[in-house]
Amino acid sequence: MVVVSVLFFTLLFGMVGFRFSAGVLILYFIPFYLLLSSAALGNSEKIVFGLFLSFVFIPSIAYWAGFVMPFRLAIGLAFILVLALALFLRFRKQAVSKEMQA
Amino acid sequence: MKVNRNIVEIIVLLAVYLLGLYMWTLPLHNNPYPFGDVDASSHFAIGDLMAGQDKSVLYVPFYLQSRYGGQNDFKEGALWYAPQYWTNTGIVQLLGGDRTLPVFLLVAIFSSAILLTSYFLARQLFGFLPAILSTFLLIFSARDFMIYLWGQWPQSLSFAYTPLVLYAFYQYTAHYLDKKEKPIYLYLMALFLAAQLFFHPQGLIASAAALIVYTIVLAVRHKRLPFSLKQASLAGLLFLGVCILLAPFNFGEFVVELFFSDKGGGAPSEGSKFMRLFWWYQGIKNDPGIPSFYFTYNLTHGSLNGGLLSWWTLPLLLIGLFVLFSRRNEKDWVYLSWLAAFYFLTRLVVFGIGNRDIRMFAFEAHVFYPIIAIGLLAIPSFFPVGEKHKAYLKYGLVVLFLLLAVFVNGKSAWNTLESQQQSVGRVNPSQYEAAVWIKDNIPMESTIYDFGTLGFQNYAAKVKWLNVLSQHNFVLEDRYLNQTEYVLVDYTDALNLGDTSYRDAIQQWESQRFDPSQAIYNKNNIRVYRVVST
Repeated sequence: MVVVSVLFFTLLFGMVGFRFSAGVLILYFIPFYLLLSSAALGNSEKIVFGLFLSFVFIPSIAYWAGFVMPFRLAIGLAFILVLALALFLRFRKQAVSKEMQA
Repeated sequence: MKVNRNIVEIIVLLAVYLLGLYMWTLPLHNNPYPFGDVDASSHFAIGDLMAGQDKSVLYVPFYLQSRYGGQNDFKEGALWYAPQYWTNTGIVQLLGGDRTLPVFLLVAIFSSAILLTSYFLARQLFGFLPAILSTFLLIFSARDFMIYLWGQWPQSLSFAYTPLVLYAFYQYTAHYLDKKEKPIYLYLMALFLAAQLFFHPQGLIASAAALIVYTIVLAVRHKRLPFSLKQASLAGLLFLGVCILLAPFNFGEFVVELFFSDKGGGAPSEGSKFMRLFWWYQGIKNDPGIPSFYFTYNLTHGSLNGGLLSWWTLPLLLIGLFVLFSRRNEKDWVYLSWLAAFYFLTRLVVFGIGNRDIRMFAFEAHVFYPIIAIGLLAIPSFFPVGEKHKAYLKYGLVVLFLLLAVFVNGKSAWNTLESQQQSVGRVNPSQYEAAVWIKDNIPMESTIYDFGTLGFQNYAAKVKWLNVLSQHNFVLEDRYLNQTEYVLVDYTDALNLGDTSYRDAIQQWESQRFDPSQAIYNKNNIRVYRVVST
């Protein structure tokens, strides 16, 4: 699905389309999908909710960070922060789950 | 070989969504230059500035002061909308490596986001077939693609969150009333409502109205509140916290405008006041901002060309409403509540509340189209035949639905969107190049006087585009000519229109004032002169 979407934009809009679609999928889809993977939600809910939450929170982090650092770096920070939180929650959930099994 | 149903659904959804994106990006095929009327250029401007200067923007830049300075009643000079939509456009400029095309691709995705969220809600409540049929029809919704072309972009994204709000609340209340609480849905709903506020408060108001109606319905059916007060309070605090933390100046502005401002309201004339409650489109015609087709069912939900077939969805809508009202289970009440909210919000002026009721028509198709699909699929149940024949009838109707959607609605939508590819209303390459030259070569605080660009006399959309692309202040009335430092003379639209009288008028005006050899920029039928202001 991801490949088809990127291919779609690339065929229609060339390199700009490729960069746009790949960038959007990486920045706006992956971090929040992983963040919600720890939540008690269905997979389709995680996909849709994650995407629409990212439209708000990724730019929010980038915007406010963009006052104290270059905007480009702020975008990277937004990605890293959300990803880090997602991984932290994921590992914490696995650790709790292991403790309960033990 | 057993086919995985989920995978089939995903493939079909992907195909429908990509078809939608293909259509909605038609204006961009072979033309990456900006388009969009009204406020489109301003929605491009802030993200463009952020990406260009590599820094966030808090205040309205000087070259937009004449249009948007002073609109934020809470913090003087601050941005007039919350920054999130514009920040996204700035982000994709950098991701895509181009100033305009990635922005417009994102705008197309955001403006058509209702395709995804409407599918999601309808799929979860009513199943795959109603969801995919209504989503397919939504691709061709004139309500939605015209707003996209007009440039009311943040509003479209805001309305797209309403299905998610309704779904989250439906899930929360269903679990709560079943004594299997899942407050996560309520907290997610709070976040979606905050998102709507950031993108455009109208979306938040639409959702709030639907939530109020749905809550009342559930309370009456179950004879108790369908939510926990403690959890609702926490959700409310979450909403407030997110709003204050992420968009404090715009949240403050929203509160000021809602509770302390006298900007809207006023009752209409006595004669028309109550009749508006009984006419769906209220006899609205000749509105100064919106064309009359917008208030005509068959032109908006059928084909802009009219004709008998353009009414084809109306019987299905009525059948769908009959089905929902007959069943009245809680899934049906989600859509009935949304419809009730739409009815009241498009008639607020009858009660002397606000003056945005016409703008609320924007989400009509979002409510109607799933009901239309439900109506279609309910038809076989009215016939006293066996299940096998009902199945044949159902799939036959689906084929008919798709054919009508494509050849009536789709044809109209395609023609309109495709016509934008080479529209003279868009910035052309010569104008874009001149604007970029101005941005890079003329001192920032200088003022430009435009003569010749289409609509220059009325500060029309194209001049606004030159204003934001050049990041310079443009003035348009002759009385300001002696206050400007630079004059732009633009022949391109007159030449593209083949209008010799328009071209001659520009030539006469230019020759009375300037010697072309003195132009500091002279390319592609556009000249820029430096003048000494008095």
